[in-house]
Amino acid sequence: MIKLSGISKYLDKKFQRTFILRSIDLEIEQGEFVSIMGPSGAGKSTLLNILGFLDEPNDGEYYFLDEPVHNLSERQKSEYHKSHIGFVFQAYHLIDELTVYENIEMPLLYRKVKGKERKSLVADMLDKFNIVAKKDLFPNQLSGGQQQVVGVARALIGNPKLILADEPTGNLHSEQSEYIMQLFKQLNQEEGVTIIQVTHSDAMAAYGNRVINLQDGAIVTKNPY
Amino acid sequence: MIKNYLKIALRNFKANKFYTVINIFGLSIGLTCFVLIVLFVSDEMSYDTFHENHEQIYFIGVERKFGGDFKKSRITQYPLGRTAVDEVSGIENYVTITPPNPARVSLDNKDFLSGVGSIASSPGFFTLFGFPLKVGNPSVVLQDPGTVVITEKIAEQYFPNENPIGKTLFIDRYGIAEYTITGIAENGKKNSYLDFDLVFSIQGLSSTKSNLNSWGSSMYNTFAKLQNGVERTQIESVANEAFDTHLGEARAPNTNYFFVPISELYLSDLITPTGFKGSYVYIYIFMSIALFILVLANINYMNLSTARGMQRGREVGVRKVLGANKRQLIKQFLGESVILSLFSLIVAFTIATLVLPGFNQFFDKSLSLNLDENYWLILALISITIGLGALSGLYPAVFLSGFKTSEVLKGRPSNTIGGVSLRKILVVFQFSISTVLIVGTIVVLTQLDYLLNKDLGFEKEHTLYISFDSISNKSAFIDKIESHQAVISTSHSNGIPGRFYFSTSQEFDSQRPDVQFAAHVIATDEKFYETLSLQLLAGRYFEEGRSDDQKDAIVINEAMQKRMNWLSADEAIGQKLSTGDEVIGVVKDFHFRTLRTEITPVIINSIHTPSSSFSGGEVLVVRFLPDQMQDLIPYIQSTWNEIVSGSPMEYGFLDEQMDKLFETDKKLGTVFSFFAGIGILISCMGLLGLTAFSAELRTKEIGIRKVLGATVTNIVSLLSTDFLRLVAIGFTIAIPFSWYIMNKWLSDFAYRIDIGIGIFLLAGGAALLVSGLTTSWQSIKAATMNPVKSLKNE
Repeated sequence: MIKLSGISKYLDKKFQRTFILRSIDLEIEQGEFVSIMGPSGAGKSTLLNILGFLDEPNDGEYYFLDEPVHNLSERQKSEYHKSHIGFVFQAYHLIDELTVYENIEMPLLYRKVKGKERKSLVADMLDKFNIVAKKDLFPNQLSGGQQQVVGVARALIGNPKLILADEPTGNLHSEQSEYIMQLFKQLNQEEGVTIIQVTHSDAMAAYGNRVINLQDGAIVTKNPY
Repeated sequence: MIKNYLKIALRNFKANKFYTVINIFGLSIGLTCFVLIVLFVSDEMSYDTFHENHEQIYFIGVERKFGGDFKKSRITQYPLGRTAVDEVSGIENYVTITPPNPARVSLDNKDFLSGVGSIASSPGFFTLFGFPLKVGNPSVVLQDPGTVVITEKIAEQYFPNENPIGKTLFIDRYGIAEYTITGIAENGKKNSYLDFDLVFSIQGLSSTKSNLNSWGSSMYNTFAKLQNGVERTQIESVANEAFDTHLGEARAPNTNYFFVPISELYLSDLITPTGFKGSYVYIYIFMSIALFILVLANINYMNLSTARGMQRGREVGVRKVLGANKRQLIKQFLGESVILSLFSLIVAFTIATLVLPGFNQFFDKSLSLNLDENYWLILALISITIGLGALSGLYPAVFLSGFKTSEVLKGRPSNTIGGVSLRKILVVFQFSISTVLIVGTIVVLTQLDYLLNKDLGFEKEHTLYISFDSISNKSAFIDKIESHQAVISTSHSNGIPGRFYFSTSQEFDSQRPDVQFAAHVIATDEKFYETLSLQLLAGRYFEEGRSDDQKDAIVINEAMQKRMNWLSADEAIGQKLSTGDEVIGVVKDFHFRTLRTEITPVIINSIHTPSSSFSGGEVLVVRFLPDQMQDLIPYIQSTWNEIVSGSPMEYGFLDEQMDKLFETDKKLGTVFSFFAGIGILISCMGLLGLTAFSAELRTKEIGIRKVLGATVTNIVSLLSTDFLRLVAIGFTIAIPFSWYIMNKWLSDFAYRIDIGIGIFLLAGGAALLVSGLTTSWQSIKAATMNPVKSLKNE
């Protein structure tokens, strides 16, 4: 599903080049649940951003479903965002001015889904995550864990093939974290959704079936912790 | 989707009340000014556009050589229209009228009511112009001498419950005569040069009989209707040739006729503007001010929405991640600005409706904001508003939608601070405009003050004048008035400053027969000089009982003396004009017209001169003791009733008469102060928003600085100087512009102030003071915040 070869990302500053990612080669198959680990500044988030088309590498090639990403136009990228990729963020990134219902509904609006269908899809999602009672609340009326549940629901409503999660449990306490991870595991196993998450925690990484360790922008085999 | 955008927009407005209020307030005020001024301008431009085929109807104006210059005039000869139709091919029809003026009207030849708008016209009036008749056949109503068409208003007033057709009215305009009503017209349109309450036949008038074939006397307005498809350029020269054959001595190059489309007549220089009305100059001034105010408000919107980009940045990021493309985001933000603009327009319409009565009174208009009357105008305003909303939303929209997703989602505000330089430029621009408005206000007000307090060369206070036309028993009346203890002196003349009606243009110097110039001519009695406190430079004024004063003796003013090339006032005494009149005295120049023009030559005759054939404009000037005015006026009134009777007494005060000359300039001063106030208010509201935002952004920095020992003053100056520097730059840029514009305005005045450095210092001080107060308000708030709080928040 994902094939990276020789991906590098660096910042040029006068006479010095600082590498964030150093010639990454990586392949991820459909149906995997991958955890990217590593210390602060290792380049985890940058790698995830590149995987999600939010950032562009300076060097190297990236194939998504055998499609060369470096050749995609801005418009094609947003097409993929609509149909193939769902994002979950550490800071949830719900839109404060919209209710739970409206937040979950938003991806469907950009996909121009008809009103009736939209209603039933959102209702399904609310039901699935047990947040029907909260549908008219605004994000600031919810706890962190609840917000992240909404964030996951929003990421899933577009029925994506891939979920990219940047420290999804970073702001949550352990009980909430476990709930979210159980959710991910269930999605991965029952619905075959590919999941790539960035995490600091071994416990969270343990939910997945593969760990990629990053250090100073390069993949290392040993757990650097 | 649109519902979603709307929801976001409204919730955003609600969540950021402070910025929303600044935006809506500014836009509403800007749009209110715009709506009112567009209403005014569109009314000004609509004059005489309602006539069917108005593009075929032309007014014939004339340029005549007068005093060496060409003077344009709308007054032409009686046979002009007839000749045009008879001798110029391409002209289909004509109408000759006497200029619209008030007449006095009575049912029974006794109680005359004055102020009835009247026109005397040749028969074609109702067929050529678009004034529909309620009753009567347009081509017949004015066919016969002694006929009159009245408006519904007059019909109701004089014949409330009867049919006026066939009844008669007495009309006093060129002497009293009885007219038979043959038609009723719909009430006259206000936006026409031809504003009337009644139109009567020109044919029976005695002046018509004497002018029927006279090319020497001009007192008429002539309209011509060209045949369909004929251009005025084809006609003008042919017409001039035709007219030339009748003109004799006065023909080209001394006289030139020209055709003005009827729809352009009102704004043309043929018609003296009344107040702000009928002048392109004021249309331009007001339009530009309205646009400037609108721009100021829109700049606020642009600045505040880009400055607040960081807050919206995250939303942009999330939307992008969820599949929104740039175009969809731009649409969303444009939508927001359009919604805000439209909402402001609703507020603006409400405010405009509320202030319209006052506006109408000030501008002497009767405008309305009805949907049915101004359907197109309102539609146009809505479209303009949408356009403006989109325009001012475009930059923020492109700016916001261009955020880099991965950065804004991390909450890194790096490039959201961008747009700083453009924002600065816009603030500079705002304060430039505000400064121009402030300088304009100060200049107009200073000039007005100068004009109103200038020594006019005569005494205008405690002086009243009584209209003295066509009455008998003048001397008995004068004697009675003079006997009152409050009266210092009286004078009988046919002109007072502000109302010199007669002027003549000729070769006054027999030595220089080729030099022609114009001089005003008035006739006064001996006490004019004393009553108005004129200053005599040489010779003497007329003296009572000197019979030689009554023939060929004149008093001239300084301007006349100089124009005649007499080196001094003394030298002028005893000299003769080419007319044979001998100068017996020279008075110091005094202002008898607006101070826009230089003082021009004046020749004063004795009113007792038998040959002085002046008619009209006669007044009795009365100088009185101010503390006894209350007794005096009733006394004069009762004396008038007793001795003169017949017509009502009309009187006025000389100082009011002179002040009236500056009425429009005074109003302009008011307009300028008002708009300058609004301009600076809107600019400062924008500044307030920006300082608040910048303080918010720098909360942490301020906290740290305070912990490290910065005082409140340090912080306030840290936050304020940035903005005040912009205000100062804006002010500097505005100096040359405002200097140029206001000098241009001043150049209209022969007597004017210099725009000194003081005016700029005052304007700059005002701008800095107001903006300084604005920024420091927010800065002080931020600076006095407890650092523990601001640091903990982070």
